[in-house]
Amino acid sequence: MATIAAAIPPLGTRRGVGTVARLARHPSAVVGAVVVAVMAGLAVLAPLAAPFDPGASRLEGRLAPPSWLAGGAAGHWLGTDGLGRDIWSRIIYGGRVSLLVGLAATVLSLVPGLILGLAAGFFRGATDAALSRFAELLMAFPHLIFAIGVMAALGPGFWNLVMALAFKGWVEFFRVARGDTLSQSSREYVGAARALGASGARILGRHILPNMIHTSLVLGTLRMGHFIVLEASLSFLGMGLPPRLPAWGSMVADGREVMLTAWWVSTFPGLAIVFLVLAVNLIGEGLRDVLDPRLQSE
Amino acid sequence: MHRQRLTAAVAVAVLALGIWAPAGAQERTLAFALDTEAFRRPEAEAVADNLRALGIQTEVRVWERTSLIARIQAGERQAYLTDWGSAFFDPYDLAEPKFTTGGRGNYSFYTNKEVDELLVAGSTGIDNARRRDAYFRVQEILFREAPWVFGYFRQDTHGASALVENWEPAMDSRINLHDVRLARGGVVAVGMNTNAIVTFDPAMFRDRKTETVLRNIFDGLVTRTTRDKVVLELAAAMRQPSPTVYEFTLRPGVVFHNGDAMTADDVVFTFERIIKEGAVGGQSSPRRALLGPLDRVERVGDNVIRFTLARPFPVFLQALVHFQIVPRRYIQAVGDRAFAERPVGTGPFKYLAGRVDSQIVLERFEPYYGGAPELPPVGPASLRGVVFRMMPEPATRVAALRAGEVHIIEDVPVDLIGELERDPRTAVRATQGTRVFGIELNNARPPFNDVKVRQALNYAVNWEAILRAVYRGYATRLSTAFLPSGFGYNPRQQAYPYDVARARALLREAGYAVR
Amino acid sequence: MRAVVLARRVLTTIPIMFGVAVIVFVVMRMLPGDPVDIILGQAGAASQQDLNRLRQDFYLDRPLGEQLLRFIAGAARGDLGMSFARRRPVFAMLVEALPATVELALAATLIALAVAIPVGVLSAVYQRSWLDRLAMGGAFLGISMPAFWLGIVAIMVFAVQLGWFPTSGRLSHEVLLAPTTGFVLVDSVLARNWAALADGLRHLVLPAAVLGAGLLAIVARVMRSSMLEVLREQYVTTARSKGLAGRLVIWRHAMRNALIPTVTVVGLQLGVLLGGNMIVETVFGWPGMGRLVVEAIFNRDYPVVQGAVMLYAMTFVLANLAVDLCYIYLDPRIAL
Repeated sequence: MATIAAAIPPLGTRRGVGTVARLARHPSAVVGAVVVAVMAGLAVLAPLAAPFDPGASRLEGRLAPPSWLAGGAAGHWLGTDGLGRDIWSRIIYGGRVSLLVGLAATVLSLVPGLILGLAAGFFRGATDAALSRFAELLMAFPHLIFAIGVMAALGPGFWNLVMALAFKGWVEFFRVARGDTLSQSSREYVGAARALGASGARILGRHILPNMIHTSLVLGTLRMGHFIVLEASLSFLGMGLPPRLPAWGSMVADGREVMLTAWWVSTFPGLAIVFLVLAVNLIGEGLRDVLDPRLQSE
Repeated sequence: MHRQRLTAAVAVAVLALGIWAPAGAQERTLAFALDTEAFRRPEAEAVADNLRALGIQTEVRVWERTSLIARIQAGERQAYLTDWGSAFFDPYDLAEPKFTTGGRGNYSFYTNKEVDELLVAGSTGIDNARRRDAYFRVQEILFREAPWVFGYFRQDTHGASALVENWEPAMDSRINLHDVRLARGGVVAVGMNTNAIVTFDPAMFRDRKTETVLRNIFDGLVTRTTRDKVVLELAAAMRQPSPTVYEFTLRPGVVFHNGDAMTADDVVFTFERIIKEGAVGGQSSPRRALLGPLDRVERVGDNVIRFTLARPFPVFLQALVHFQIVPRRYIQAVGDRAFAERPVGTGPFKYLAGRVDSQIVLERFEPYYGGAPELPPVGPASLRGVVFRMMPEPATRVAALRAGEVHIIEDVPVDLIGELERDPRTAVRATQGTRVFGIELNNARPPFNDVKVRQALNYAVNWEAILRAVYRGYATRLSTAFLPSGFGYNPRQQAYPYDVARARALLREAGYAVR
Repeated sequence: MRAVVLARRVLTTIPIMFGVAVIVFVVMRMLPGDPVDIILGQAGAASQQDLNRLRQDFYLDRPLGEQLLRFIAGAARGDLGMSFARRRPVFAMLVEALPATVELALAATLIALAVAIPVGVLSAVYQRSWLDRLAMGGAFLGISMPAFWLGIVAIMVFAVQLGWFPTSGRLSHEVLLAPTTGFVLVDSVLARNWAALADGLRHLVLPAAVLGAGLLAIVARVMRSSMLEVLREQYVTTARSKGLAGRLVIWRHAMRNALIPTVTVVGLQLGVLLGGNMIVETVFGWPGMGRLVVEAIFNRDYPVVQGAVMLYAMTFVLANLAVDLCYIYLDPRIAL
């Protein structure tokens, strides 16, 4: 009996090692990983990497163009913002906040979404019905409006922002995870494990989860960029992070009034978002190529 | 055993106190959150920078306006950048709500019995000299007790195309298009800084943007110059037989846009709609308090109306500027709701088409009586028509002005002023604003229940530098919260100077560590 | 049979709508802020009497339970109450604002699909070519740049510098068009006012392109990846090996199947377009629902937010229904 149970591939561990190795050979994933690593590295080493204090305003030098443009201020190679702060230094420091916002919101959406999706798909019945109805209910609210409401209720702050983003963000993960669990549970190997007396938790953890988690991971990489951009939209509407924390999204929003004259204030942080989203998506793409068995032949 | 432990404990306690006591009692660090709305964030950060230089820990927080106000009113916040608008050129609608004990706008929870009494004396007295004395005294007390970090007022900066002639922005935000000429074409388009105006019914709004549009469709008994002087408009004469009675004689031959002649009944109807509860189609006007102690309005002759007040109210004429006459017969025939969809007034332009949230098209009212005789030109408007377009995004307004799509735009952001001034086809026109901007402190709670701390903060902020940098000089420092354009302003009252040494000394006296 | 299934689907919307109504009611009242104080504003004099009179007008002096019942009972009859700020029936305000938003969302979807489907298909067919890389790079720009950035840049370049399009609004003020349906394009055709049609189209291009940019990016990516998957399926390779012309296989067989996920995404994104365009509406001065709702949230105009969210929810539910119907058409094997 035990031997047959062991014959069912314990996907989690073996695949984990293989995945990383295969990912390392996937060209776009490598490019993405390098970009993310550089950005994360800069963010971690921000005090060393940034030429200026990101919070130090110098009012007489406000809205100075990048140093390589006519009239540019020496040293500020991406120019200065409305308070005379160095944009390059703020982008470096902003990486900390933006990466954290994106990551925290993604994790806080993914984990509950995945767990509830697994539960709904596996136990079905009343659990599924209740969770699915609730998810549908939340889906019916537009995301930005919902986030505005949550921010208005909670007030400004890093975790409040993350909460506002994740409050509805889990629903997508829930739906995907539920669908995957439903289709996995109907597979033969699950039936076999069940027949062999494996407990529900063991089936979920050892058999179903490893076979479906990659969809959630891919979705997660896609959502991360979305959360970072959503932060910009909330800043545009006048609610977001405490201003001592430079975040790329709020930096883009800050510069919108002066877009006509000082385009650099919002464009460079915007480009930082583009590169990050691009890189994260490249990783996501690599992840999908590597994890999706049907695509592995390639 | 026990004794030993006890001795040890006492020794530790004494040691701890010895180290701790000076640090705890005298070397406290002053730390607080500075709350603001998004639009004043740069200024808030600059102020925080000033305070941090003194060793005060200041964290700026950006809020959605409504949430912030609600939390301020609940007494939960410590220091906040706020503003308050005044329309009457008088402390009645500024100092009174902001500093009276329990006043609606008293976010600093300031309370001083003498100030309360002086403010009442100021807004109800008949003798202007004594009113002025009362207000001077209030400013003295406010300055000394420093319930706020006193701030500034701004210049309202508007943009105009070079084609626009004879337009001067008014201090009360009126955009008087009756007097405007256009070098080419006969229709002026105005880019409004708002999502939507509230309504077309002059009884049902409180905001200035709505009034800006409506005062081109409706006229009042009196109006104002671009500054603060009240002049007659629909009224031909005014007399005041006693401090509490005002009588207006109507100008003859004025007609509404639908052809009805304007009579004394229309005027009475207009004001009764506002005073009486549920008089606007079962709902109440939010404008009641603007009329102060107005008790009743009645017709006393063919074209004479008498206003009777419960007590003297010296700013009554300033208040009347903001009340536009509506047609009684038309409203009674079509109902209040339909009137608000298709307004009819006596103003220089009549409603043609449009919605409150997109664009509003008005056309010249040919039989216009001419407007206030003291504000030339008199006669029908020179423009064939007027369009108000709602353009909430500043960059879009400026772009539209430069593209020639609109001719006048409201509220040019200071950083874009240079852009419009460099362009020969556009210009910026500024006028003195009537909003007071400041930093209110919660006087009811530590640390700002200590007058020394409040004064220290007033010395610690380098307003001149901040206003020059952030508002490019389009803002002027105030000594307290009284506007120089308003009645009873004391021009001799100096503002707190930027004096770091005195700020340090005061903070030390209050028991805080300084850098 | 299908009618029964359909009817059942429609019936399940009722509890959802009820839930939405309760949630939005509760959430709005949890937000700090007093609607009456907001109407009186940060200016001027006001008395307690003023505040009380307005509270009465808005039924804010009644118990919460009564307010909720009033709202639900009204909504069931199609009466969404009166706006606090504008004192107009919420229903009328929504009817005015909705066409502007829908017109913009549909135009955005159209632009997005017209560009994204061919781009996605070509990217898949010529996978890893320069075309593929360029298109996908552009897609990331579309996803990552906030709409207000794209919008202001578009206004700067195409309206101010080049003068091709107007900066904002739905119609020039010279063009008078009486609203019948509220859709500018439809109304101008009905009135045979071709000048208005041209003017309306010119106003629509920039905001629709900016709003559609995000969707375009998403659709192109989804189209590309599902196309890649389909191209690897047995029947396609079989068809190809049997000598069916490559083009025919791609456009006839593969694309039809690859469209299924795309339809799902578009259906879901349509809800996002309707609910998330307040930023584009603000930048382009477009008088639609998004601006209305955000303003109403800031003003704590409860009835307007409640009504608008109900409408959003309804649209979302109906869009899902429509997606299901599209499935039937595209893939008869799927039963509802």
